[in-house]
Amino acid sequence: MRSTTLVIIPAYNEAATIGQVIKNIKRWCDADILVVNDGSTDGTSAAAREEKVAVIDLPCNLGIGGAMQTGYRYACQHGYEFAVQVDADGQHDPRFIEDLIHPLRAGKVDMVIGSRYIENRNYRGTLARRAGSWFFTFLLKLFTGQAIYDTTSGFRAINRQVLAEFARHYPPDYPEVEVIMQLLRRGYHIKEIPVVMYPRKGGHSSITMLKSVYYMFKVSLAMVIDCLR
Amino acid sequence: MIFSLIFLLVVTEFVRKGTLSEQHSLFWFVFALTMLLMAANTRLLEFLSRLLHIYYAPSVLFLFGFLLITIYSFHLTIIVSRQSEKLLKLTQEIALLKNKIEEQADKTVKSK
Repeated sequence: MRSTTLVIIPAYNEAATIGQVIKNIKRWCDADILVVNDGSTDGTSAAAREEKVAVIDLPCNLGIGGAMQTGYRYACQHGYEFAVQVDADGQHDPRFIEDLIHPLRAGKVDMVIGSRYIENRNYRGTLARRAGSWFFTFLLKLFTGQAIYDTTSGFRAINRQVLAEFARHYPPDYPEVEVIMQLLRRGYHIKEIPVVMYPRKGGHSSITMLKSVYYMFKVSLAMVIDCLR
Repeated sequence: MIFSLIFLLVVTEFVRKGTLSEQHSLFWFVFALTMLLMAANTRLLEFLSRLLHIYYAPSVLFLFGFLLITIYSFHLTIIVSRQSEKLLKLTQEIALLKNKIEEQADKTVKSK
């Protein structure tokens, strides 16, 4: 029988870890799994297909936002109630997937973010990273009056209303923070729950020093512009 | 002036070969002809410079060229933004359709 929940895994050159990530998810929950292969040049697609999950191959690289939106549109078309985003590099612990969906089922909230920072679990990261994170939390608080602590977390679950919203509009690059802003300003409810995250198990982070400067500016600008809409 | 003439020929050649579409060549034709006219006609240039209170007449040429190119490159970035948006939607649509076809194929194999 088909599940009401779809786990979406955006993957770009993650052949080394994707198989294990899928196995782990299957062990902890019985949701359907979709891998969105974002134009990988390695065996990511084959490795995912080996695990007998649905795979969408994008003909060229769209970036994380474009890939996730593809997954959200798939979820919409197939009538799923809830969608969960899980990274392909093993940073997200699938034990928490059920915890993420639980508040959505209760119907009080529209999006649940798996947060590294509340309840002070052992994830810390570099100083620059925490400063950036603090900055976005500050901006969101300024613009929407709500405090979201782990704004850049990609470990998140959404319900059907937000799915429809994302199928229409989703920022193509660095979507995490912008999307929170977009939802809060439209009156959706967001909740954070504490999760544990691990250092990535393989592959490389796409964020370099120069890119993170661009990241800060681009996201801040997008937030200001969202206010003007 | 010589530059404007050569430029005019280059634009014509590219349109003839089909590398540059007629639609976009229109701007460059008008641009090249205006520059040609202004470079060739010193009295027109001097008249314009007096009108704009510019002491050095040829700098009217530079000002004009610079403004036009700024506006046009802004126009082009708008086109690029619009096109990348369309490309994104197209890529997603193709990937989703491909997946649908695969699903259908799986179903028919299983039912046989």
